[in-house]
Amino acid sequence: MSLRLRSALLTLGVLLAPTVASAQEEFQRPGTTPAAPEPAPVDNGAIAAPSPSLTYEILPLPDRNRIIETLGVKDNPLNPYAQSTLKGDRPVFDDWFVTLEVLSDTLVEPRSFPVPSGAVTTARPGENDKFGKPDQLVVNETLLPSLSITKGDTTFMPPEFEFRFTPAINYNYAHVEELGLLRADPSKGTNRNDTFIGIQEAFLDYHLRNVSDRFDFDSIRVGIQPINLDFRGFLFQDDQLAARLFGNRANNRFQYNLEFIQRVEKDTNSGLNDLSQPLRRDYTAAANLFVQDLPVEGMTTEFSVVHNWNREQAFYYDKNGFLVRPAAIGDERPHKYNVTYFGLNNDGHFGRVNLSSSAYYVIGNDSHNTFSQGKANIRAYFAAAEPSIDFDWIRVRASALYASGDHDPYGKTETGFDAIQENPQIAGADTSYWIRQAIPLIGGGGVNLSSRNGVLPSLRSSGDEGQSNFINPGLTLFGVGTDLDILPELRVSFNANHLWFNDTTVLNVLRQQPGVHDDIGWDLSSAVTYRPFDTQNVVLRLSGAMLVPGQGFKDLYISEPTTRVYYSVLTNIILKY
Amino acid sequence: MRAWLTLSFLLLAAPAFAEEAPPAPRVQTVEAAHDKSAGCESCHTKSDAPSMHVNPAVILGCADCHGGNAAVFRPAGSLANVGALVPPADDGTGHAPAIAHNPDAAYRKAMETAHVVPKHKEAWRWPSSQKPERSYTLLNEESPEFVRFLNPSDYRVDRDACGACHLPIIQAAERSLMATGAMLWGGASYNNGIVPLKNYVLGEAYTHEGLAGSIHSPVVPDAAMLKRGVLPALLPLPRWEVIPPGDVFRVFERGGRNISTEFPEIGNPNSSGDSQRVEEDGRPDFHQSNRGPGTGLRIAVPVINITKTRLNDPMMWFLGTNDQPGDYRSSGCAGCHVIYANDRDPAHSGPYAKFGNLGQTITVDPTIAKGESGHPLQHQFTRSMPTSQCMVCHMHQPNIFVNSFMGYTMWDYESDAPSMWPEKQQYPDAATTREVNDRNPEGAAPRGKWANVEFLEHVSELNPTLKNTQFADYHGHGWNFRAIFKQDRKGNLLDAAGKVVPQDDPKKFDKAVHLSSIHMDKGMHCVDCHFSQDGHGNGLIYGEASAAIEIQCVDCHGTSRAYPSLHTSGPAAPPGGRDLTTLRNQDGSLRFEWRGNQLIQRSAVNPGLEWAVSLVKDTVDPANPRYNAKAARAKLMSMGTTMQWGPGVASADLAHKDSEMMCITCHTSWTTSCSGCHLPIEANWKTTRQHYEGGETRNYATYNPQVARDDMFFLGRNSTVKGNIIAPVRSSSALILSSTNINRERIYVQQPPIAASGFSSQAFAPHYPHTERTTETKTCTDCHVSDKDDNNAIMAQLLMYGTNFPNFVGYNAWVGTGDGVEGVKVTEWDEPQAVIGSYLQRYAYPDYFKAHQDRGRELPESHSHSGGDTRCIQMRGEYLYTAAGSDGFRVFDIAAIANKGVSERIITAPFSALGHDTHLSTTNATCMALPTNQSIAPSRNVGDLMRKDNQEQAFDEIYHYAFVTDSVEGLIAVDVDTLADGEPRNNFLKRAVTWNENGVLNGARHITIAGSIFYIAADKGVVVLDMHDPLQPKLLNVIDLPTAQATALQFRYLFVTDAGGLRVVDVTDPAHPKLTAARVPLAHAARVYVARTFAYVADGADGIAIIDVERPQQPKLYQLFNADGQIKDAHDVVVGTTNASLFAYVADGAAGLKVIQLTSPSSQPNFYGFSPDPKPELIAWRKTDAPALALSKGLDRDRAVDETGGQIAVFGRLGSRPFTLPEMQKMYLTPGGKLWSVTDEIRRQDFKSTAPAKSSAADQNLVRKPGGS
Repeated sequence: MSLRLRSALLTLGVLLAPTVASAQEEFQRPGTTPAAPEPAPVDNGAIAAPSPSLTYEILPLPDRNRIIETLGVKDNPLNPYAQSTLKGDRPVFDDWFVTLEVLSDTLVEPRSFPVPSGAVTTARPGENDKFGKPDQLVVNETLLPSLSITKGDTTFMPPEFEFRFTPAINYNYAHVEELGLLRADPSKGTNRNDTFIGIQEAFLDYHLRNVSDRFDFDSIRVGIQPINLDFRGFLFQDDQLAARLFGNRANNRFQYNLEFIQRVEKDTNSGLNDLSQPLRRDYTAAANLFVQDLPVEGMTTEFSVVHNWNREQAFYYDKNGFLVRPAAIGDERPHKYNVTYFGLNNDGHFGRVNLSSSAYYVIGNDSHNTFSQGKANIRAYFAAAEPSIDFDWIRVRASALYASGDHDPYGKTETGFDAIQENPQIAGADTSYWIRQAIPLIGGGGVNLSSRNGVLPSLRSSGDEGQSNFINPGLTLFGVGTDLDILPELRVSFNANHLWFNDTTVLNVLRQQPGVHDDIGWDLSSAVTYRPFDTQNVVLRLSGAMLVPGQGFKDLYISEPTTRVYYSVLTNIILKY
Repeated sequence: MRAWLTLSFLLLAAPAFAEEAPPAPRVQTVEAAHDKSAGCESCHTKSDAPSMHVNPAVILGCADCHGGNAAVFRPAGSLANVGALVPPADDGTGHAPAIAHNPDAAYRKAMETAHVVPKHKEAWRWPSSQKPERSYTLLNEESPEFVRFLNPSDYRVDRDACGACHLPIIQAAERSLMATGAMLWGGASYNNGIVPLKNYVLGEAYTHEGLAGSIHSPVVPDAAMLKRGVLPALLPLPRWEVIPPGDVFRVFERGGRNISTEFPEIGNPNSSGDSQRVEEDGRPDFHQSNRGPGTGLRIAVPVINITKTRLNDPMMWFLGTNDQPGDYRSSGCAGCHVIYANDRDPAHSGPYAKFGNLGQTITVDPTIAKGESGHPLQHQFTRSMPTSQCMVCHMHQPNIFVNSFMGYTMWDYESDAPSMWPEKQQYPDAATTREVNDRNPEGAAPRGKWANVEFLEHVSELNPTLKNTQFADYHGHGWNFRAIFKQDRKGNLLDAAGKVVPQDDPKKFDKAVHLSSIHMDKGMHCVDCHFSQDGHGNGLIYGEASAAIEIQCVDCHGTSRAYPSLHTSGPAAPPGGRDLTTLRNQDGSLRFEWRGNQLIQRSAVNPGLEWAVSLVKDTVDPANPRYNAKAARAKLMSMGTTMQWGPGVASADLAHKDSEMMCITCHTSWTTSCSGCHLPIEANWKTTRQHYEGGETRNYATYNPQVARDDMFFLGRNSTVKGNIIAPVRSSSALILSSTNINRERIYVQQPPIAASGFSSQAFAPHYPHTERTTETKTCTDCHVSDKDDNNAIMAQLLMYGTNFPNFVGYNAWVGTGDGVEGVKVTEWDEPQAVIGSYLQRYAYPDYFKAHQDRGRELPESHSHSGGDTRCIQMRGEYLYTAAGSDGFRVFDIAAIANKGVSERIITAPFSALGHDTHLSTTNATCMALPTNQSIAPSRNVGDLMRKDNQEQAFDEIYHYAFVTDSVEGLIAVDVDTLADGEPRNNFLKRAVTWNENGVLNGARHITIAGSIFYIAADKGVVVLDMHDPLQPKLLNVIDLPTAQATALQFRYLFVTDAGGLRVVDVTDPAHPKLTAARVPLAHAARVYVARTFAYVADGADGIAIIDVERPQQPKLYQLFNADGQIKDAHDVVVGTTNASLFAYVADGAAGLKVIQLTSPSSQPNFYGFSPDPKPELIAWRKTDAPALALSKGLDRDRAVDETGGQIAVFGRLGSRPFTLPEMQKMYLTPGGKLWSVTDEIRRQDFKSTAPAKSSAADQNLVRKPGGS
């Protein structure tokens, strides 16, 4: 049919539509001509339906995790920042995930603190001073590969099951200027190279049940696992062997723990868990409850009861040959103790004022007071608070800490506060001099005035390996500090803390040096944290701290009148895959 | 490759098939079929239509379709299950409890042998045949045998049951949008910036075994097919866990320290012991992952919503939720072709209305429980589906929204609130909330009476007692739908003759015209227009509904020049069109038939019902008895400005050509607009995936319509598939997002996402509203400037400039103060987000409302930050832009404003100026403005992907900048793109240009941006600039108003406050503004805000001057409102809408912020009007820390384009867009640039007949009333 005819018919068809329509009502009869079919509208783009006999496919593509590749999001096992099946972003099969992490923690730490000159022999001829050269260098490299196998759904549900295993491979080197510092045996020199492989995490996490539509749940985690019993590590922060029942309630407003911890022996020089040793006979049972938005919105309050009982009555020498249990102090007799901590901790803010605070009251008994050589009760307390206020990118902090001291070493009650395994995050934490460095109490026994990564002057043999000691001078700390977020990649912090002993009686006794002043001195520090890629994959930290001794410190360590300043420099490189 | 995949799929699938019953045969003997039913009939005894087909020629036994074992017989002597005879007991829920099933052990054993037993007996309530509620992915977990037993027409198995005869339809239906949902997934992922492809690639499909499947086109689309919207394939939805975020909120930026990609530690804070990773009190790390995009929680949250929140769910691959009226249906073919009782309205359900709305059966099968919900009416297919069957799915915004066909839209929680909210405030616990939200995703529902299904089922029975609205009887998703009535622009109800029906008339809803489609009024149902192919698809894959439709108006109605061809002509019509004259109804009658000169259509649903199809050609022919002058005038209007019309106008000269505009451009009586939808996600919900694998995970977002109105009407360009012709456009799911983390900290609040194209995701889309009317149509003055000059606001709306009326102020009102900024909490957080002290709060939160009154209406919470003398302020995204006098221009970071964990909620920057500097020193920054307050990211909208593949317009240059006025320096432009790129390391602002040519901007104090035309109030007057090139401003003119304080623009008029009060300038031609004589004297006129037909002027000690500017050249002071002297020093005022009510926010100097409810159902019953008269009531206040001077305007929700044609908001559908400036100007300017106007009056002198001099008969017909003869 020609186009012209077609359009003519179109016109005709339209004009005669009723007629055509009525024609349709009739059957076609032989000999008649059927009415012209209704002409179609002209539509050049019209598309015919495809033939039903073609292949109409629905192909199974059940792995919806990998469809994202089509949209350009590739699995990148080499880049730890990017999405990766090796990093638990996509399941390896079904709903099983594998998370692989490798963390390299490099530390170069030049430092100085008072050390004794060699007792048996000295590093250099002619040394007859009690105090030796304080300068030291520590280099520490820890490699932590971590493997986690999880059943569940990345971060969108509590894992139904998780197994995590994190060994740590450590190399450490220390150089000191005096003999007998690194090892009990002075013939071993002033350098020490050591390696160790520890197990920092090895736990099973099992999801017991969900208890609400809000995904509140109960889980249990058994094995070596990270433990922190308060917000800032004042009482117990470590990777330890524990059975922990935990969970939450009421839209996560409440979080709770019921846990039992038996401490693993530590490798002396690396601080890593040493499973080749028998477990320590030191047990902790803890129950705590974190309540969010108490007393005000934005403030979390923790109530805790922690019972620690220690039955370590055998002599134990550390890897370097020093006696750590019992501490080389007083009569050096083994003893056991039971203590119960009642804690109240807060973290959050009241309006514009941020506050992290902690208070503990501890009661208990000690089977043997190393001074009075009899049984003793333990009654001590601790309070710390770090209020701060933010001005845009500037945080100004004040820090205050009070740990009761013992006023009568020979009394029936030990009143110096000690924690179980502290790692306090206050007043600059490991960038501050006092908290970072373990300062030996020279001439009063084989104990430290304070532990490494500890704030309490608890006269322990070692923070890691020693027993708690409730006969100590206690501490008062006041400080100010600031954190400045200069760049997305760069934070600079400054801290200035002043520290005092609360009661130097025990120091007087130990040092047989009456009148030790309580003023420890000024702890001034500054830290730079630089994350070149604004990620956690590369974190560089450089901090410098110095202790400007006060009279008390001078009384203990400095014989000459010149004011000596001790320093601590922390160069830390964290690389994380 | 594909063949190999198919082969391997078949091989893999083969063992599973082997155990299944053989496919149903195409033909067989009656005897053979009987053998496959005999055992079944021993219990079931009879069925409605044993083969499901009413046609006896279809010979099928029960087991042919269902499988199972038909050789098993009811054991002799065992009791038959007589569910129908057991009277249902009332358990108080209104639902009959599951019928006690036959306890006879032998019977039970026989049944279990005969039936296919499911894997998940409990979930299916085995052995009950009742459809379980919300079964969703349960079908995917079942064996194909059971799926087939349950519903042989389910898409997973229908090839076996139905394929022998209906394979082509099955193949097509699996590809149709009703199965794939590609439009919602594609639109949602594009509009949320997740997938930058407007040719959609995602869709839902499953294999026989219920595995996620990719669905492929049977042919590789060629260029012609692509142009018609055919897609090659659709992939399953990727898991949200691996999709990088599309949103540019700060929580998704890099920089995280503490939130790892594993589940967070519970009860073990700071457990790493690492000082670098200590969680800071009062400043918790909010970054959602310390690794890259697509890890941990740093993912595309909207995809969680797609997966879990009932949006369009369930679609055809799943059963209906079978839990409330409007939600009862099956899956697959039966999803449409088997009728369930859902709605008691005969207009909606036709002959099925009498069976109730509870999904109960009337089957003759005695084993099916009667009086129990979740059963089909009968075991019988039909092609006569009533509209109510379609409404089970199409009741939702992104799902075509066919409610409007029936004259309904979503209820807004306010109208008739006293009947819908409980007297006592509800405090639903988690379990109750979950239970309700699993049915109904509205966050408000758990607090409302309609949380109770029994109440919901009877909501429409409240209608006789209601004052504000009337409700529909269907409640898909558990929602309530309110009726739309004819009203004038003031909101007065109108009857058919256009007369006002008083609001206090007890019969007002009978008298006022219910604006359902004229088609529905005639008795039509969806299937009367949408025939087989529109229902099933044509076998090709489409991503847009309009591309998949074959029917067009003209196919049945013809045009003004031609009778209908009765061949389909839509985008999906086959070549030559489908011949509608061959269509037959179920009873065999022809569907269309010419009878004399009438075209008769027979109802596909109501046997015996027929109607004459209105033929356009007749209605415009003065000689025809069906002539309608109004219609003729509209259709035969000539181009140009003469308003000549009539048959004498040549086709080529017609103004409203069919080829250039859709019929519904005029025939739409109203359009639904979803101006805002809040999706607040909460981490702590244990919810199931409603697609694919199912299973419970964290997170759930409720779905909260905010401003669902019926008074908006926009025009724009339709999609390329539809020829880019003029079409109605609607606001379509303008989302705002919030997130509450595991610690219940609000880590982002009410943030609009940004589309993949960089446009604002306050989305719009061309829309077929299905509200066709013959009388209540659009008229000339709805789209062109009225000769009375009384439709300036209507025009501003029509062209999508926005009317400043539905603006979203939100959780916080942002105030510029004499010393910085302050965010005052003005709404509830929970849904509905009632403004504190408002009408809605009174009913939804009576306890909180009382507490607010007891506080003396003082608002309880605000946060401030010190700064300069801040006299202009605008929130956009998570930033607050300010002009602060000598402190210059500053952009605050307000991301943490509602985060309870954060102590300092407003900050200048998270880093020092070396790392983030959003401050610009200027001499005296007096004001600032952004080209749009919607979140945009112009830098995304580049390249061939956007220009060619996605057919997107480019951004105008101004959209890169913020503009600052400085009384000394003039105008300063600052490129602010960096704040929308998601990169926290490059947030540095600097001047792009400073301009003050010849000191013309000395004393600059206020700026209004109208596309690339800027109006700056300065000492010389109002300076008009052409900013097409923002780096090279051009002075156009200076309006001689030297004391001008502030300006506000609405389409052709600029409203200026000056020392004398309010002045009006005609800026139709911005280069030549004309100061009109209009003046409203005011003593202290400061800022002015124009919302539709009212201008609100902050008038200092006199409070707020409300000025009627419906006729801008004749402004009238409507009211001076100072709240009985409580407003003492008004500096600024903004207006916004929350739910159905209008609010004003006033910066009242030292007295702080005032919140005023302008309309409410109690104060102004006409509140649904386009611009009802405001009835201001002071409802809340707060004294700010420093004097309140300026307010941030609420998010524009009806603004898609600027006054010079620059697109702002994303448009759904490929190639669709707002008008360009020349296209807009064509509607009101002559080619020479002169204004022309229109009248709705039918004037004799305009008529142009074919033989003008002689056509007196035609002239007489001119005055004939519509429909008269």
